[in-house]
Amino acid sequence: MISRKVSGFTRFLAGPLATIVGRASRASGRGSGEAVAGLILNRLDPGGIERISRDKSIVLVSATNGKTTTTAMCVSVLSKVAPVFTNASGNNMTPGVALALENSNKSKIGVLEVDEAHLGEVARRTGAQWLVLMNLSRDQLDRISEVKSLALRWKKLIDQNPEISVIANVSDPHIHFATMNCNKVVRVALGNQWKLDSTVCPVCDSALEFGKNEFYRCIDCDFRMPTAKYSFESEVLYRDKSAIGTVHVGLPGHFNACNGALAAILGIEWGLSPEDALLSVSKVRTVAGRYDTIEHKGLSLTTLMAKNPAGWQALIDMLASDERDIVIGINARVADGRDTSWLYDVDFGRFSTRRVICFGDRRWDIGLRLSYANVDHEVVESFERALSHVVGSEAVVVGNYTAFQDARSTLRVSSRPNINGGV
Amino acid sequence: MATSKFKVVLVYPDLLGTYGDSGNAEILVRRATLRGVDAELRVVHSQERLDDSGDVYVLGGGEDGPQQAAVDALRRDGVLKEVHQQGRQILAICAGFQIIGESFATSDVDNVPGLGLIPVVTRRGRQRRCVGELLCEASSELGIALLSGYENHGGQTEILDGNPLGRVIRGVGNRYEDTQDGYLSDNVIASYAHGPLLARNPALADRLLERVHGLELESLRRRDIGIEAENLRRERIKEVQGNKGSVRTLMRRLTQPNSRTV
Ligand SMILES: [Zn+2]
Repeated sequence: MISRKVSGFTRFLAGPLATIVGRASRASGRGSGEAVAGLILNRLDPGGIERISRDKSIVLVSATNGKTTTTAMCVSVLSKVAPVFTNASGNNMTPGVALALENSNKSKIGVLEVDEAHLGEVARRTGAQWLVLMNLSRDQLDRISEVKSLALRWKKLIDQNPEISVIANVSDPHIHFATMNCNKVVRVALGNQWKLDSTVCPVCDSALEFGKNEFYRCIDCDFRMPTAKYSFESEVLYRDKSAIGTVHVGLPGHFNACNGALAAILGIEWGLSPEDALLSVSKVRTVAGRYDTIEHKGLSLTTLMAKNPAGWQALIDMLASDERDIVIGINARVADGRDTSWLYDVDFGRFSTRRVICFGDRRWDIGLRLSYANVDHEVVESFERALSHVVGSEAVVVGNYTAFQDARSTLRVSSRPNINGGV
Repeated sequence: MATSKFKVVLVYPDLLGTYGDSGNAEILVRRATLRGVDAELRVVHSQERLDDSGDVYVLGGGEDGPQQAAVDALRRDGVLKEVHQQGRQILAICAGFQIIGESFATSDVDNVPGLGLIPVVTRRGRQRRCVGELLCEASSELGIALLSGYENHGGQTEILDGNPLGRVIRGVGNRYEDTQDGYLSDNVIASYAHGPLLARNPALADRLLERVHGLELESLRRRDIGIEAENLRRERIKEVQGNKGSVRTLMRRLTQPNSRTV
């Protein structure tokens, strides 16, 4: 980033200019105008983030999976307290944050989704008061660091900023590790389905042992799962072991219920009643086009995003009980990560009774992967062609980041979120 | 060949499985099964004793901590060294490659003793991490023209004695100072290429099977697997060799949401 002095006049122009460029860029069909607008803004007004966030309360939501959904749910919950501003899905690095702040107007509460690798910078620059941290697992290893070094960076951020409060899912050993010295941590036990990235102790690298009820402990040192203030079992939320309500979410999958539980806890910690917080969570129905069902040329299509092994694992569990054809799109552009090796960490064999149709830049990667997993499938060159191969009137469309966006734009629907928080 | 048995041992996927490395083991088993070989995949986690009856041992990549834990466990266990001395095949990728060498480095420790199965040493890289597509001309004895993969490592590996798996055409491979990737001996195939390696290079998987069975295998070219593997391979090689930096690619990069500098 440019850190030279910027004249008052340039700063004055930065906002309107960014807005114009954003619109032009969007109108030209070049994808998200926000990304470009945010970049310009951050260049022309490098101190803007610090200046504007000074008199706002900022909540940052980060994780490998579920940050967009959880952000939307947190927006919905905190809107009960005061008007809330947020950022667009995918625009979760520093420029996106700059743009969200620029457009925040009089809203005093910001709930911002932040890329895992950018959390430190964004937290420091916004002076965030709250963090909501859910999980860390392998994703885009060509760009983002190894899981443990990310956890270490988070830990450093939290250790150096003792005034930050954290809602932490301590079922994930890396999240507990990052927050273990934090005085203002609210520990939550959500359960943990993906353990391949937490096989060794984050403190001493000895083996981690998992026991009953997702309890973990290191075989050598005293790192272990801590007692959590909140826990979540069979859709019931407990505080200090007493049930305080049931989490109903308008989105499918157990992982979304977990996201909802975290958002509700944020609201409760902000002083809302559990009833109010849980009710707000239940109102979120679709997030940036995910979980949306679209009617298209006689087909009823549910669009889902999965971009790494842990995300796929959760989706496969969710799709296990239905029989629809599955259309899978895989790209490996910059935003997806250039390396497709992770496809072999996904248990696609569980689709062996399903019909699968593959598209995307890397359709041969996924096609071959499915062949080795013994899954019946076809490989076609475009999303439109894939739809013409669907048998029956319903299908599930799953894409990684840019494949999902491509599919949504073919369906002529936006993959941008409802910035108002949908309440 | 229908009566022969073939066992692939996947070594510690809980520690050495960062880059879809279990794929290599799965691919070996499937390609053997398709030829009518009674093939078995045995997965051994780090808390268990290593199976000593494997034909091929597959080791993958891992982060620093798990890599250290894996080398400690393998040394205590002793089986991998034993089977290597008996001439059983080892396929070692990335961190697995480093572990079977004489020494390697993590971000904290410079000189971690390896298992010493092959004469290579790995030092910490002072330059940029090696990340990206890797394309090599394969060692001539393999009878394969090109090897395609994806590398992502910091460590710089020097071969003290012996031959590399291939000569690097694109990417870095073992280290910046030379143009070699991996290591090749009668019973070791090692490489920095994941992707996974055998998905992109089915002929290499078959060479490994042939080393075990001493037979030339029937081609799988006509099957779906053969066609898809060929398409994937062709597409990857073309991507690496062809139109780098075209205007369209550049525009796509610049205007892509989330585009970030590494
Ligand atoms: Zn420990």
